[in-house]
Amino acid sequence: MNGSDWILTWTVYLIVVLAGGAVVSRRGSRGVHIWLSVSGLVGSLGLLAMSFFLVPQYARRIPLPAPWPTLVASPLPLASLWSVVAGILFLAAILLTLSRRDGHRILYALLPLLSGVGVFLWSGDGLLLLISWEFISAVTYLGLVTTRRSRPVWNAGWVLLSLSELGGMMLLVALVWLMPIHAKWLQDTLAVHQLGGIPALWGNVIMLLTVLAFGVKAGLFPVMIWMPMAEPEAPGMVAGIFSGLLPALALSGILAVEIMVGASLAWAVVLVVLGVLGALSGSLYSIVSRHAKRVLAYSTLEILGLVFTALGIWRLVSLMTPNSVASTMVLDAAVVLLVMHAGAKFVLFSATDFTGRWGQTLDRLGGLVRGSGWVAGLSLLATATLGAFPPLGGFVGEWLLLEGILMPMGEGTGVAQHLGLMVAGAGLALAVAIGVAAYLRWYGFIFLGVHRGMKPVSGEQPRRSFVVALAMPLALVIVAGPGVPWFLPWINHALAPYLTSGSPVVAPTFINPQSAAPLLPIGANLVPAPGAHGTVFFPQAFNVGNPYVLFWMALLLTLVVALLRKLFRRGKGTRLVSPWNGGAEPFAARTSWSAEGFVHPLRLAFAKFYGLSRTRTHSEGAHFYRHTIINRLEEQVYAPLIAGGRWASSHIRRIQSGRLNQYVTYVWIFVVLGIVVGMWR
Amino acid sequence: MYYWHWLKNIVRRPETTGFPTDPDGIAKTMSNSDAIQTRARPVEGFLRRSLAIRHIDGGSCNGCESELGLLSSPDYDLTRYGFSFTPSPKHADILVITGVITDAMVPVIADVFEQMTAPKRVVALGSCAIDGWVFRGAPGVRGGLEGIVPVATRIAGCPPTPGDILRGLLATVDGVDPLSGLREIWP
Amino acid sequence: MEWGNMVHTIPTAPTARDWINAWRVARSGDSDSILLTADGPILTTLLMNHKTGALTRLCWDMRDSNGGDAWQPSWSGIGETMVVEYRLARERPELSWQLPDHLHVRGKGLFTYPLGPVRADVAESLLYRLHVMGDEIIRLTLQNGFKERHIRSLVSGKTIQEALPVIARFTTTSNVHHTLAMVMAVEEAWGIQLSQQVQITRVLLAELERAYSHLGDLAMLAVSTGLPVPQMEYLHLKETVLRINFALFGHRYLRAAIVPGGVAARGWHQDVDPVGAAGMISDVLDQAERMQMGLERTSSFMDRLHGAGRVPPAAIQWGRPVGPVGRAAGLGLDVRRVRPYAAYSDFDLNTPMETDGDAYARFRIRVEELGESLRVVRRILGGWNPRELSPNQALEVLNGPPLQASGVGIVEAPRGLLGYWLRFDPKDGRIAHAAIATPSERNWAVVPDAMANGNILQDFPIIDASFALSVAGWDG
Repeated sequence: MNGSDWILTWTVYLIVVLAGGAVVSRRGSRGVHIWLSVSGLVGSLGLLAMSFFLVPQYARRIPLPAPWPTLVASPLPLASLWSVVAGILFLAAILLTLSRRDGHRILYALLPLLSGVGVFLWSGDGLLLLISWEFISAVTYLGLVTTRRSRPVWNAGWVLLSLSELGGMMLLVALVWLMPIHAKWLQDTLAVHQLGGIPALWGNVIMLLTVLAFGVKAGLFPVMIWMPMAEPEAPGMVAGIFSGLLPALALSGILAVEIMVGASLAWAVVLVVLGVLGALSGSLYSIVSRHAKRVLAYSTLEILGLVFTALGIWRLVSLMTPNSVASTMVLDAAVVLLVMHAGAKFVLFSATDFTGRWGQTLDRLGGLVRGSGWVAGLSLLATATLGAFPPLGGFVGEWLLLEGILMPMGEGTGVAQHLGLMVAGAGLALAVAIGVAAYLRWYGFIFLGVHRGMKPVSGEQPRRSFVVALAMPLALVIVAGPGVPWFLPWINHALAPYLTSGSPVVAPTFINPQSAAPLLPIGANLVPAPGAHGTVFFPQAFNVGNPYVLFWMALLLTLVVALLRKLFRRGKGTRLVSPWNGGAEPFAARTSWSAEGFVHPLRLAFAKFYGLSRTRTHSEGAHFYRHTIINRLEEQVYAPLIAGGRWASSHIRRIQSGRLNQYVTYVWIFVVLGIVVGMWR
Repeated sequence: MYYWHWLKNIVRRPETTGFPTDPDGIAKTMSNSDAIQTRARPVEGFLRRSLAIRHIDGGSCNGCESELGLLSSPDYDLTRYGFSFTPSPKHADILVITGVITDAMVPVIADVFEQMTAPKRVVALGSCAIDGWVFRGAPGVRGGLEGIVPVATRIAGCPPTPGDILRGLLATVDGVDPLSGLREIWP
Repeated sequence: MEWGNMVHTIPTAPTARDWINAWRVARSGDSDSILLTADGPILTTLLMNHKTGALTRLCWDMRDSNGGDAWQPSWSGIGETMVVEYRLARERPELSWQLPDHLHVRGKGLFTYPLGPVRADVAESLLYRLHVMGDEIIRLTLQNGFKERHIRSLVSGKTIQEALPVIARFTTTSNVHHTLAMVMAVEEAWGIQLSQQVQITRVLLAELERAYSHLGDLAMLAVSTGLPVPQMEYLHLKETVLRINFALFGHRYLRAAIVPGGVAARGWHQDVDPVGAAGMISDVLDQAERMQMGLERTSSFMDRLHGAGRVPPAAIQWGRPVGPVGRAAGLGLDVRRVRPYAAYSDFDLNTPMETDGDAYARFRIRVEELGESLRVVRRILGGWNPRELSPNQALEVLNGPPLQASGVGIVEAPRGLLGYWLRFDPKDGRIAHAAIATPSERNWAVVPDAMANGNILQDFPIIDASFALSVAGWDG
């Protein structure tokens, strides 16, 4: 099947699914649920199958009747990767909806998104890109607002829609700008090519518009604001797809435009600045959030900040020192981070559907590992990934990124670039460190410790399908982590047009240095492969630079301790007594560390940033203390805009509803203004 | 500036008394010769000489606390015998209980003893902890540890001097009063 | 009920409301409440003018109320007597004393850090509930009563001779002052006059006690800031003073040295060497001054103390702390100057004052009082001969009826103002009612406010040590 066949297939699929649903709905919602689930299964498998066809040789022109221009179906960069990712996530999401009463509503929103993704992956052409991205925007909005009917959902929906439309318009402007040059080139070839003859300034403006357009969906600072508003309100699997898949698609969109325009240094610098700001603000707000899903939503912004920084640094380095392998590493980092984030974040968001039985705020949770060991275990894997625990995907991505920042600093860059990279690296390191604390807090206060809520934790096991659905996306984590020796060469092959350095990047683990030469292991000579001189196992020169060493050492020491305990334990085993709490006060949730307390030192350290204030109210015979923080972006950037818009609309409404005096006054003002302008001209 | 004393003490002998294992006139004068009664039996390899002490105030007048606190002073230095105080009962080997044992403290004492890991021994410190002393018969006062925890050693005195407390602690480990070499058991 | 000469009695208030209003009015002037007690149906407060030392008694007889709205005792909200008010509400339900609703503390993510009753290395039983947000102490609630020995009811019905050993074990580190205050009340009731030698010996005993008590408190403060070397030095000085006590009076804590009508010479050693003791006291004084200078040059010590545990002005006004805590916060009350007892009028004491009210101010007050006490001790020991003390003749008198039915004894204990008011059986002189106001129970009331005054959890041990209050004095 070639590109045009696939686009036709997805269009037909959408129509059949919706029409079928409408027909079956007369038999009741259960039938609809079954119909949609089966269709979803088919669609997900279709996405997986499509990944084999997403290569340039299947690209086709789709002639449309006049006056419509010809559409071109050619695969986006990395389309086959995202096709697999999307297939897995949709499959898991469909499994997750099985246990939900409102599953059919979620599927009504998810399946159009699925077909939209299917079309989007073929949209190497500008017009198709615009159309399918607009479609995805609309479906995202529907996915958000059709499942819940509460005020915050509608607010989030409106924000999403307006920002998406803003992005859509920007994309339209960018593409219209490109169109005359673009069309000429498309006549010759189906593959995207760099276009000549675009002035640098234009290129920058076009790229900026593109980045903002895709950044709305991908969580770019500062247009990502809908994410922390919407994702806590959406069902777990929907939020997981929003958070995991949409950014990946957006990255491909940006790359597709970038290769045509060939952005310059300024664009890259803007991207690095926005990325670092996004990562920092995302992690800082993530760690102070109380709502379990909002922590995840803000941490998404942190990871995406890393991705955008990686993108900026890739462009920066490939322009400054084209031969440096660092640019390859940071671009790989962006992809690795996106893949692992898609898997891990989907798992965590879905896990909150299970923990949501006990509550959504961290203060009401705790000790849920006794609720379901499986959910806790799988979430632990996902948390460890996001927290960059070796050898999982997050670790690989962050290592590649930070290494890619450090490496060009030794390669004769100018003072300004050097300083810029240092600041960016420091900002990212801080963001990542706070991010780790945020993940620990999330996991620890939900699954470990004492339970803090009213509803007791009994062994309320989730369905088997739920656990399977949580386990599936973790394949992505494994691919991006221990599977990275095989994954990286594939990425580099797929991204070949974007790479300026000829050197391949090969991960050290599992690769025999002799057989894979010439290679450049991660960390250059900082991190030799096991077996090479200088590692801890062959200590010609002692070096614990290999990050995996820490992992293996931890594993080894744990085993040694377990062995010693087994060998030397005396008596009748462990005697369990309650935790020591001073002798009088019983050990309970009230006397144990709280999530707010955990974060309080950090809240004080960044008090200026948060605009921290403490309030004490007196009610019901108690002093009630709370700490309020300002969400600066919402309250200081968006709130005035919204207020202004509201004022204008209400004013116009008032004028139109018969306030004659005001109306006449305005008319006079404009007439006078007109006269003045006319006379001046 | 404080490190000067460390240097000074190398030249000059420290103030620490050798009491109760070595003779010391002043400490012996202050001490009460028949203060110690113990039921503890020495068990080989059972309680060795690095023992953590947990103290509980069961309703004292803070005299025993004052003397216990002086055990850390350079004059008595309980660490020369391997003793140390610990905040957590989970690390403790010896439980030292002072005061008249009020009803409110009974569950606390039982809980602390439960939290301690075996082997463990209890010392009743001061005349109040032995029989309630002048507070016998006051409302809410138990006046003794019978039925709460098993007492290994009694150290009489109001308050017992730090020297006597050291004797009692050593007797708890060794089963004999280091001063007299005798083992006295109460009925 | 008769009162001593120095007590000015305001006519009995007709209603409880009048009584409390009169109390409030008196307190808003120069008077501080010293004690509040319910002696059977009679509620009595004793106020002392903190400038002249004059005592005022306000009482209200519950039997006078003839129905109507007369009986409305309620929480008077006077900080000095708050502990007693709680005790009255608990132990005398027939008074139906109303307390304010205990405020709970709640909040987003606030949690309670329970500390005690088993806490620290060697400490008295008290449960601190620190309500914290992360490290920050939002509020402290104290729960006492773990070591209540009911001394007040235990001594009722006892003879003076039977009661003295119990009173001497109220708080051992202030037992001289407890005994002294009780003995002063007894001597007032029986009209016993004392020789100047006895009075000076009592000052000697009192100042020796103040010296070792402050040395112990300073050792606790030093170790709370993580400085074991000064802790060891202070403990060594404390042990030195305790040994001097033993050499002079036969007991390390000077117990039973003071008896009604004199000082107990029997237990004393025959070979007392006051001049040698004065020399040792001189050494202790030198060492203590050197320690103080050293600590004030140690930045890690000063940094931890400055601004830690500052008593808020409102709490000072409301709770009127006494002793070193009060003097560190600008309340200059010192009973030895305002209302001299024993031979204190012969000594021109220098009462230190600070106004910051933080841990450092309390440290300053303690070191200066320590120096002053040691100087007084040295001066007395220079001319003191225990053999000149006449044998005590007063003990036989106590078996007879008292001249007046009650007596008041107010002294300045190491931790502050300590007041005894004892009512005796007019027939056989047994104690009929004992009202005891200890400085610790009064000062504990301001500790929560000082603790929740912008401090963090790591400041807690330092602030706790800087107050150096005894729980035995609260849970008497």
